[in-house]
Amino acid sequence: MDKILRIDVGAQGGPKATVEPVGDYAGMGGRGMTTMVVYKEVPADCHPLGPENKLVISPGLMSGSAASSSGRLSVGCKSPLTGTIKESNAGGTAAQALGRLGYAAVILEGERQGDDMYKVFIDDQGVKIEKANELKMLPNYELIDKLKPVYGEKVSVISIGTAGEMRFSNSSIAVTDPEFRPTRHCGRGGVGAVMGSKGIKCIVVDASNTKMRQPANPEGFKEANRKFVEGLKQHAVTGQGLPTYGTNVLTNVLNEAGGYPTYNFREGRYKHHQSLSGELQAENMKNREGGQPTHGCHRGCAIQCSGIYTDKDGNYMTKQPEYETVWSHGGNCGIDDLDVVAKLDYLDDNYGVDTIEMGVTIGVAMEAGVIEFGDGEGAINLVHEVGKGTPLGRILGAGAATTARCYGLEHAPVVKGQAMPAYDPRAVKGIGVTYATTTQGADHTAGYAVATNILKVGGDVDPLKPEGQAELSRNLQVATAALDATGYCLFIAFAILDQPETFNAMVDSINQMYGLNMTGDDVVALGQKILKMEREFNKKAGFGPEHDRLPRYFSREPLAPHNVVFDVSNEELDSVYNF
Amino acid sequence: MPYTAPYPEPYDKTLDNLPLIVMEHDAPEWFGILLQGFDMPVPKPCTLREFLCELVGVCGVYTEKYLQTIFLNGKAIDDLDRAMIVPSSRLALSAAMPGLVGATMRRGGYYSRMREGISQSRENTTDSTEEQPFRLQVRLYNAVGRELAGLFLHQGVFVPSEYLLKFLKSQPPKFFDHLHKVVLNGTPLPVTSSSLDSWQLPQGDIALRVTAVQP
Repeated sequence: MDKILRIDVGAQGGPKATVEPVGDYAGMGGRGMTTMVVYKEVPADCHPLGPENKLVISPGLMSGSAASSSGRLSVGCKSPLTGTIKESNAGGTAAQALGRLGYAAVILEGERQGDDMYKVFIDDQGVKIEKANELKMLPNYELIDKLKPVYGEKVSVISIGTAGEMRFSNSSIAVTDPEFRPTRHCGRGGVGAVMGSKGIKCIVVDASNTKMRQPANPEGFKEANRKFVEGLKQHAVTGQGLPTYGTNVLTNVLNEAGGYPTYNFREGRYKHHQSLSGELQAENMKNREGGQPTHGCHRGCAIQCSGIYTDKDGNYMTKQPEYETVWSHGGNCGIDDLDVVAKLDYLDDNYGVDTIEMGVTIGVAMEAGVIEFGDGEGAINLVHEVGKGTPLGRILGAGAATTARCYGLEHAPVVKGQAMPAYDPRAVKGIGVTYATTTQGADHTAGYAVATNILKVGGDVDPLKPEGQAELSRNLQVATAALDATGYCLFIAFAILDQPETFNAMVDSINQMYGLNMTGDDVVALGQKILKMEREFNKKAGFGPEHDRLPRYFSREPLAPHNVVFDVSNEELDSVYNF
Repeated sequence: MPYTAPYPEPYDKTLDNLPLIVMEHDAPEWFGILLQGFDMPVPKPCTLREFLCELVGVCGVYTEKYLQTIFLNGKAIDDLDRAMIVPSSRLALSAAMPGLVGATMRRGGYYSRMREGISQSRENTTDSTEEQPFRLQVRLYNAVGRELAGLFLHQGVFVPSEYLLKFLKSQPPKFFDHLHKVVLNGTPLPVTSSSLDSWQLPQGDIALRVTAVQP
């Protein structure tokens, strides 16, 4: 991956493509690339939908190679939802395709001229950009149906739905999966709105005439990858739990812990959790015609945490909804029907919105009395309002914080304008520390269970000492930032957390791919570098420590059943960035 | 990990003198009835390790390696020898979970500090000197449920009779191919799916025991 494709959407006569060497960005991929480009090239005080903002699309360092579970695609920009720097990533097939074509990044930049929408086609022969007004305001699934006869099903598509075209702050960028469905989304932070502001409806990537990226040391790479896959397969979570149940296996456990936010974060348990459980979801997929409980979002993934969800008659409904989606539309809204959640997931993907932000927004709207808690049909109608851009839909499409403001509510479970995911920070306070302090707004993936115990970020940490939460969160954020640069899926985290030999195999696979001699310390240094750039960008954009806070009601209102509040001190929160 | 050790003798053979339904089944699909949770008899207060190892029969490697996520009364458990099973306790057993929260919830895990406030600490363990039998509420989740369901059903559980009927009516025909015998208080019941409506089950809780097919 030695080149960067820049598309100037403001060029005379329509968008123009320029391919340049990777230059100063050499060695960067995924979140490392998106962060560095935004940090260096985007004025921090710009409007996210203005001409100065850029949308950076970057496959991870290992994407396009034979490395297992390395198909993550990062998208970065200044976020319309949070006003901070943003990196949002997704699986699907596009990262592999871009990697195989040699692109380290695709950058959309400049000021859109007029109202035309464009499609971009990239293959081994070059780049073509065409006016595509016939695709205007098509939802993602209909867009794919239009593209299929033209390009076939072997290409990858990166696209926006109607929400992105209308530049809603909660709009995603879709990536097609191996079945050529637009089911994988860079969901968080409104990145779809930035693509919409550049007038690009879709990017079609055809890597069919290319081969897998070749490692610098093929034999060494093969051996490292073999050990890595072996580690993934032998671990209970990556080898059994995720393939069998998917991430929704967490529903019952979080509910049991009293940390399952319910009724817009009012309670920590949901009476009907069993109706939403991963166990039941897996049974549905196993027993219904056409259902598939074990499925990969891209080819070559050893974990296979996804699935295909069908209705009782065997008709495709959506991909297997993830835990966060089932929670946001299910328990958080008092909706106890998996099929309704599946329908909502499909609509979110189709219109192109983030399922977490959308579900939390509906929860806020329910608290405001727009519809009742538990009203599944009402929730479906609200997502249609967003997708069609009605006046109410435009409010909801702006996210949970805006919706709460419009209805005069304090209860907006957000940090830096972004909705909290499916873990109540009063019950799991360490997660609350991450929600508060991450550069991205409330985000559960900013601090993942990466092998910080092996990496020893900042030295040996005693997780049992009183100030351990901030220290743990810091180390997690550093390690996660580094992992986000590789293209490896975060779900490898458990295996590399528990099995040092699997962690070593992962680092070795990168070394053998690039002919490097990287150590754990280098991984830490990369993570710290990324976080420092993000922090610096945010500071210039007007975000200081006072923004690294949860809403005050989380410290005031106890959460049942444990009646706990978030009581981590501001001093401790501020210490997260002591590095 | 399939549970292969021999099942211990059930502690309570009469199961609290409730109406007792005994089924002979090839077993694998039985987890479903336990998804809703169930009660089971316990002779006297004991530690969680005593309960698992001595009463139920879950010991050794399975306990240490696979029972990675345990909640007692909603509190995350790190120490099996300190956690006490007492009257009105609610126990949930699960395998290791994905994600940071999964790592956080793990027994004695590196990130357990991140859940302070919902962990069972030394101070909030419950003790009881009442050496009376009682009912324990149990929840079995994910792979642990699938692997241990047979063991708990062998021990005998209490479930509302309406749950049992609802569960049986929702089963596919192949389920009944593996169901060989049903006896309610010593009286055989028909075992086809179409005969379920003729079952005269008493209302409220019943005792349920599932045994492997007798040779």
